[in-house]
Amino acid sequence: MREKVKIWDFVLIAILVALCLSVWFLPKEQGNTVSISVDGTVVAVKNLDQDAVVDLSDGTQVLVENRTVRVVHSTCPDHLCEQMGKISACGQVILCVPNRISVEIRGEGVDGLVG
Amino acid sequence: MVLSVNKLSPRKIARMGLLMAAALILSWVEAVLPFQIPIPGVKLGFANIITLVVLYQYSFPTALLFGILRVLLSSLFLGRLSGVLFGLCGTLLSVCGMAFLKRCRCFSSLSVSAAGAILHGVGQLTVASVLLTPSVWTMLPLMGISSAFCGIITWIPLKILGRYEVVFPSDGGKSLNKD
Amino acid sequence: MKRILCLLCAVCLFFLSGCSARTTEAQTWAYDTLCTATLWGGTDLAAVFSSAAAQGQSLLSEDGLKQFTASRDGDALQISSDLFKILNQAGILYTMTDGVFDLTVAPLSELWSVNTATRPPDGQSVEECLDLVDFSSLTVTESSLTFAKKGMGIDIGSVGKGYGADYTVTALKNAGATAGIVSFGGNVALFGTKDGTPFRVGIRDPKGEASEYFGVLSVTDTSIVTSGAYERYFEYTETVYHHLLDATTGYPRQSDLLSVTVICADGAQADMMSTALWLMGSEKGWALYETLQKTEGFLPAEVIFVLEDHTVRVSDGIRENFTLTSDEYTLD
Repeated sequence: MREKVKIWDFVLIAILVALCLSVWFLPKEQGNTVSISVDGTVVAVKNLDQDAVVDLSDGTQVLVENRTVRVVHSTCPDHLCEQMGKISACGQVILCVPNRISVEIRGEGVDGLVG
Repeated sequence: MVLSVNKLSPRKIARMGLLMAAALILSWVEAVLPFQIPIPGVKLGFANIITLVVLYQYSFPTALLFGILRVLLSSLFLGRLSGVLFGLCGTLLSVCGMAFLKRCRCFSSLSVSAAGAILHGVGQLTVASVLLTPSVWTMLPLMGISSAFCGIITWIPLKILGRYEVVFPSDGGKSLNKD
Repeated sequence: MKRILCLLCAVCLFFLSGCSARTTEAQTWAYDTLCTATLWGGTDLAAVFSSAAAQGQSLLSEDGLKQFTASRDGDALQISSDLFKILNQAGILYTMTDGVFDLTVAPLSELWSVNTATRPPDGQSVEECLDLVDFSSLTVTESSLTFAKKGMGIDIGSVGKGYGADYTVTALKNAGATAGIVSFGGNVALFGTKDGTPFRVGIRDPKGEASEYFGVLSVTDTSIVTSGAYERYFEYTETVYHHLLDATTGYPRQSDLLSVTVICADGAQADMMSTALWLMGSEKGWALYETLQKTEGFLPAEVIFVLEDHTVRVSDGIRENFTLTSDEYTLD
């Protein structure tokens, strides 16, 4: 092949990767709620501080424990969602694409606490 | 466009068929590998090699059509219908981006491949953010790094294939398109 | 090549444009508690916040808590018009609760000192103290307050925080703040919105840790106060003694409510209402709430009752803005 690798290649790759990494630098809010959605609709909202087990109607099970969240059991063919492990920071998500389920720690915590 | 009778010669159809078969086999190999990356949008992208070959050999419209067909066929072939929309979006964005970058003479196929991989992931994340939740964008950094990496890795076979005149003809593909 | 770089820069800027608006965080100490604020807009808001908190305090009393005490029989004190309004409301609540809620419970609170005590006071002391607790013996005019007996006092602490939060909000708005959320030891007052979205305020879980909440209120321009026995208490020989005293018996009141949250534009009213409603319990408390809604001198308010059987009763006006987030509780 007559083509030569040029310096611009590395520049482009670097810029694209940098753009992707920029998400890490966005300001983050406190995450206090676990929001579970199926097909884009929120079906359950849990407090991150409270241990809980959520059983979804299709058999998927989500566990909230020690301020972390993970999918314990899923009914999808590839079980990637279980392999995703634990999430604990706001904005993090676990997805089960075949079942259209998303479990996320919401960036919108509360702005204040009364009591 | 591509489907004008002039350009769709028997030779071209045969070549495309072979390339499609190769792409599907590569998709299958990728799918049966023992490990999978849990980030949506990140795949090894073996089939992308073939898409790049089509892009460099033929034209952007051909490559686009090829990409779309590949996604549809591989979904049927692998039995994964749920991922069709994600794959389509990813491929669309990826092929368009790669074609654009290829036109700019300053980029070699290395960055085109890497950019294609990243854009494929971005396309998939976009669908995920609409259908599931916008929070998927938090996966963008990891996706970017691993896709760039995969894009570079899959470029190596392309470079090797490129040594053969039949893949990257020195006349810029004119001889292939003619017949 | 240049075109590409320009395009990439544009995309870059697009990605990074999601930065949050400028906020000011302010903190000060007033009403014997930590007061915090998160504010948008305006200039030098932290200073305004601190001085307003101090000023609000002095409008009610000389140095904050429980300083309205009579040093002799018939002692008279100057009061502000704000305090006059508060005393009127307190008088109505005193009547409607048959004396259980009494703003003159100060000497009794002092005796119990739930914050620092480890054992309950003896019966004799409680009896003697009860003599000094009698709202009906006060003489209130627009500018003065006269105590019948020496040693009587007004428990400013029970309305101070609610009042103070409101006062600072007014001052902050005058200083140009466009939005903000203020917390005076757990009494919340807020104004404006965050880019058009209402503030989300968590209501503390009465059975949980201080940072745990059982539900979220999505509101704008209001004050929110929650009362419950869980706030201050001590244990002695396996009995829990909390700070919400029954002014007729002199002892902590038994109530079937875990907490009462009042949402109202008037913070001082919310503060007193939340205490009074809690003291009354779920049945009488709700009835009292409904009566107050029609009583002159009281602004409209919404309430959320949390009963000891873990049911949550929400008044109609706030139902849409409240979301339950804990499955330990059920909505009524």
